[in-house]
This record gives sequence, structure tokens and C-alpha cells, in this order.
Amino acid sequence: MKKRNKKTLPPPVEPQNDRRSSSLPAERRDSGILGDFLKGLLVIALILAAKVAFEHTEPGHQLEVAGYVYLQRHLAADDVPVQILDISDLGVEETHSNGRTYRATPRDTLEKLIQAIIDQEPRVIGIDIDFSPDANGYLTPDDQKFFQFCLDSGVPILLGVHRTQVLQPEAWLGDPRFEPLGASIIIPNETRKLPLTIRTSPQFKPGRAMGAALGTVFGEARCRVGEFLEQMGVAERQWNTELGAGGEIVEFPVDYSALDELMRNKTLRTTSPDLVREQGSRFHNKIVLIGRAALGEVKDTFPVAGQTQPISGVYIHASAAYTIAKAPLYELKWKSRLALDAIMSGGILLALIGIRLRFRNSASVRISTSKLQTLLTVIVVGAAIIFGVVLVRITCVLWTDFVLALGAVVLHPTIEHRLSRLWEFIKRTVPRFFLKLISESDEEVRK
Amino acid sequence: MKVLFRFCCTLLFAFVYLGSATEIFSQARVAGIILEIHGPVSWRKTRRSKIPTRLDQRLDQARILYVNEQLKVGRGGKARLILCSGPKDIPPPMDWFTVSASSECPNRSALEAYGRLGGSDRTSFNAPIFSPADHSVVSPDRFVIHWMPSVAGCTFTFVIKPKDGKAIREEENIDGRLGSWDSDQARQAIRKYRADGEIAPLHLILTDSCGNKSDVTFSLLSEKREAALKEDLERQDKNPDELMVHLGRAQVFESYRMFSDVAEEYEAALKIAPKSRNLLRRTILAHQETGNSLRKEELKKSSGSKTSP
Repeated sequence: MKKRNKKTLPPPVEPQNDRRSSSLPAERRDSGILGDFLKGLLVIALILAAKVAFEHTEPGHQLEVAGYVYLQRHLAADDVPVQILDISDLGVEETHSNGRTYRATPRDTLEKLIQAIIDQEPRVIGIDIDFSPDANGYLTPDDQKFFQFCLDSGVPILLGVHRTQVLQPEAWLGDPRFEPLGASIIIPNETRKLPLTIRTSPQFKPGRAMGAALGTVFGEARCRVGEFLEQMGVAERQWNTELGAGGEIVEFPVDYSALDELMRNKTLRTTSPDLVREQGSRFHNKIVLIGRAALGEVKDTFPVAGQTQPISGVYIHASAAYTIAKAPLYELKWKSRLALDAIMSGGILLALIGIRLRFRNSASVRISTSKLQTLLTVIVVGAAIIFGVVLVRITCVLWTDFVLALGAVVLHPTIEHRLSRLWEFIKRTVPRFFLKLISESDEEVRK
Repeated sequence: MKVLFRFCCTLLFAFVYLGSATEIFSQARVAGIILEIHGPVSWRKTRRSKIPTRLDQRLDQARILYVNEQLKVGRGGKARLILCSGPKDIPPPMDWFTVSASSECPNRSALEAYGRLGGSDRTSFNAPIFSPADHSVVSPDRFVIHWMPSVAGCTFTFVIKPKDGKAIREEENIDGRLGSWDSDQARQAIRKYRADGEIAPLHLILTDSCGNKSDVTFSLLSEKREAALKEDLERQDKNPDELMVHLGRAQVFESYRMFSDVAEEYEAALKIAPKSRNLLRRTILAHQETGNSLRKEELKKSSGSKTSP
């Protein structure tokens, strides 16, 4: 039969199922296709369940991080509107006044630097130093004067807060008058997402985080595809994360593609107001972040996925500001990711079944299920890579589990084949074993 | 009778222990800030503190308040607080007002677990301890704490502990102006830590009475490595040239990441060849490695007068 078929109908090569079905009546052929469809659905469900379970394991997490790093590399930073003023050479000054000792970054030097920057007309200034008071009150006797100077400067200025961020925002800098200045400079242990706002109690209003606040004051960028997907309920730009009992942190995914540019070309290390004035154009119309950035000289360094060395806090805030101001990112919701996985696998299955049904009665064309499945898988994976990975800059959507999702699609035929064989084996051996188990032995019969 | 006595003893112990534990714990339990004060206002750490501190209207504004701290407003005075439970005015004259546990800011621990400071503060750099140097290796027998003396005359407390473990040694009430602390008990504690087979790095945490806190992390030299170090040093000590002895020893210490000892050896070598510019440069770098910025700057200033290469 095999030989005869080959002679009469040379291409294409048929799989066993179709060969068998070609000689079967039409009703049995249809029921065979339907059976394959149901089997395919079952396999999809099994693979999706396995994928979801695998996502929660350490290797699954590592694969997601790998996907994240790969996507970050496809995000190209252009026109970075952030300028860093690295004041690593400005040490802490110890002063004595009224019998007390104060250790802090000298406010007068900061004031002169800020004034020099203000003269260049920046859009917003952030200072990545913790200005919040401590158990002895303000860090220097001049803090209130300095805060007032920042308030009256005519340019939005944000001052770092860390010690008091557990309090309500109006108390962050010791007085509700200074509330517009305060911005939290906390950086989470997991730096893929950074805080937009922090609220430690439902009774408090949310307090701003430095990077996001700088970006917001500069002006939020928009991404049409991302916005559309957000409206459709597929993707999200912000996440509400619970903080203890009743607290809440709103987070957003960060685009770190500007890191290289920020470190190489957007950092000016000086404590001289004259140099700031000389290089004025670097600050004009920019988000200016003042802080200590020199790696190896500061303690506030953080691991960032995809970076070989730890990154100073000031660059992380700068990346956050860049994301909000220029490169908003979205992430697929958990449900959407699951739906996408199902659509990809289900799409292949439906197309496969549809084509088989279309040509089921054709005498001239006979479909090779395995070849067709391979072709459809290549098309779906190719399309997914183009839209999900290559065009991430346009879609603004971080599909971080694409490695796992596409892996599941690619492995689908193999898994299905293995499962079929396993099922055949079970069908063959289990009833036999069961019968053997319950049937009487010859000895028992004789007895 | 015996049972009753035991019960009373247990109750007394529990009362004292829990009382003190609550007090220690309350140190970090932020409850609010002082928004403004007028007139005579006094503050004390707890109700057990004997001597209250008179607060200054200007200097004590924005002071963070912790649970169990107490405030007392004198005649004609006034204190306005922002507590996490809401704003609070303390009118005069009033008995001691206690910042109660109900005023404590919620979710502090959750926030601490979420992330850390992504910027600089007073303790982000210029940590006064330079021996043991941060991220260096220390031999328990050579363990001495050196720091840049505090001109403010603050009192220091040192705690040695593994990152997530209990303190293995605590040294209190040390005069910050001394600049060094040589403690046999600390050495013994470190030796015991190593003998117990612990290999986790240790943290030396310095808290001073002026409100500053800093820390360094160091690892202990294993007994096997210590024996090897001794051999290496003995080999260097055989050199007849004293200068070469110190340079050789410095190299050995460097290979063991014992940066404070490297600096000491270069200092000794510099005494023999004070005009060597190369040696001076190496000594400056060695001090930079340990974080002894005072000595580094001192040597930098004097480098102008050095002549030989």
C-alpha cells in the first residue's frame, strides 16, 4: 500500500495518520481530525500548565531575566534628556555650632552649584542626597534656609529623602512647607522596576520617588501601541505592589538602555560652579541630577540585570527619569501572557486542522501533518520574534517570558509526539497488567 | 512556697527582660517628627531616663521621634508634632507626653526589606574606620581597630557581628578622639568565631553619640592561610636589607588582601627612605585602599618636598 501510494502520488510525503485515513471513509477521516484536534487542545493545556509551573522555579526565573536582558539590548536610547552632575569630590563637612556637631554635604557649595545650573535654564533638578532630618533634627542649622532657596529658585527642584520616608510626605523634610521638594531615593533590591510612588499607610497620600518625579516634571512621553494595549487590558505600565499591611508602592518597568550614554557622555564630574557655567549647554532644558556617581567611591551601588558591574544609585534614578520622559515601557499582564501562549499554540493547531479539513477529500493534494506543523511553527515563532522582540522599541512592551513561550511552541510537536507514544504504551500495557493482576492463576483454578 | 518563689522570680525576670527588649527595639520605631516648639520643652529617651534634655526651638525642629520617647512642655511653651497617627499639639503645662506605640509609623520593616538608600548620606563614604579596611582580610591575632579621630569628641560603640547573625563582641563608651582600640576580648571573640568553623564575613559597625553610623566588612584569615602567611613573612624577614623586608612584607600582605598591614609596612619603609617618591606614592595608594583619607591627604601635601624618584 505504501509503495502503491508513492507511485501514484509522489509528493508530498504523508504521515502515518493521513496515509491510513486516506483509505478510510470520509466520516472516519473527519473523526480522526477531530480526535487530533482534541488531543492537540489537551496537549496545549498540559504544556501551558507546565510552563506556568516552570516560571515559578529558579531556572524559569533565570530564563525570564535572560529574556528581559535580551529585550533591554533591543531598546536603543536616543536623545537622552538627562545630565548628571557628579559631585563625588565634594566630601562631607563637619561643622560645630551651639555645642553640636553636624556632618553633611556643605549646603553653601550645593547652593552655588544649583544656582549655576539654574542659570542654564534646566527643566528640573534632582539632588540624590538624603536631606531628611534625623534623631537630632535637621542635618545642618542651614537646612531650612537651603530648602527655602530651592523652593524660591523658580526651577522645580527635588531633594532626596530616605530616613523619613516611612512618615507621611508632608513630614519628609521636617515641615509641610517643604513637601513639594521631597522625593524618595529608595531603590528596590530588584531593579527591573522602580517606584513611582510610595505610601506606607492608607491614611497617607502617596509620596513621589526621585527618578519618576523628575521624568514627570519634564513631561511624560507616550507610546501609542503601549497605550492601546493598556486600554485593551493586555499590558500595564504601572503595578501596585503591597507594602506590608495597608502600604502600597506603585512601580514601573525601567528602560536601562540609556545607561551607557549616561555614564559616558552625560556625566560631568565637578564641584565648580564656573565649570558648570562653562558647560552650560549640557544643562539647558535638561533633567539635571546631582549626586555622587563615581563607581568605587560610593556605597550606593546596585545590581542591574544585564550589567557586568554594579550601577551607582544616581544612574538608576537617571534611567527611571529617562524612562518616564522618553521611553515608557509596558509589560504584559499575567493573563495576557497566558492568552498569548494559548493563541500561539492554538493558532497553529487551528490552522493545521483547518488545512487538513480543507484538503481532506482532495485526491491531488495530501497533507503532511508534521511538515505543515513545522512550517506553521516557524511562521508563528518568526512573527512573535519580530513583533515581540525586534520591534520592542515601537511596541514598548516587554514580553519578558518570550524565551519560555516560544520554547513551548517549538517543543510542542515533540512533546505531543512523546505524549502520544506514552499514551499508546499506557493503553497497551496497563489493561494487560490490570487483567493479569485480577485474573486467577492456573493453580487457583485447579484448586 | 518554693513554687510561688520561683513563679515570682520568673515573672520578675520576664518583666525586666521584656521591658529592656522593648526599649532596645523601640530605638528604630519611628513615630513622627517635631514640627515646631516654642518655649520650654524637654525631651527624654524613655520614662526611665534620669536627665531630660532641654530642646532648642530652632535646632531641634524636625527631630525624628521614636516610640517611648517623652516630651514635656513647660509653662508658656508649646510643641506641635506630626505623628504617623496624625498631628498632635502638646499644650502647656503638661506632664510627660509619651510617644505611644499606637503612633508608630506602619510598614517600616516592609519598606526596609523592599530596598535601600539609592543616594548618598553622611555615612555613604568617609567611614572613619580604616583598620580593618573595608572588604579586607584580617588575622585574628593582629585585630586592632583604627579610625580617624573624632574632633567632635563623640563616644563610640563598636559591634562585631556576622551580617545576619548575633553580635560576637560589643565595645561601648570608647572615646572617639583615641583613634584606635586594642581589645583582647575582641581578638578572643574573633578567634572563637573562627574556631567554631564560621566563615561568613564579619561587620564592624561603629555608632557614635553624634548620630553617625558606619561599618566595614572583613573576612578572617583561615588557620591554614595564617600558617602560610607566617611562612611567607619569615621568608621576607630573612632579607638583610630592612627596607626590602618591609617592601616584601607589604607585597605578602597585599597578596592576602590585608590592606591595613600593607599600609603599615609602607609606612615603616617610608621611615627608612622618606625621600623616595615611588614609595610615597605606594604609601598614599595603600592608605587610599584602607580609607585612611587623613593620612593620605597628609602624605599628598608633603609629597611636594620629596625629591628622589
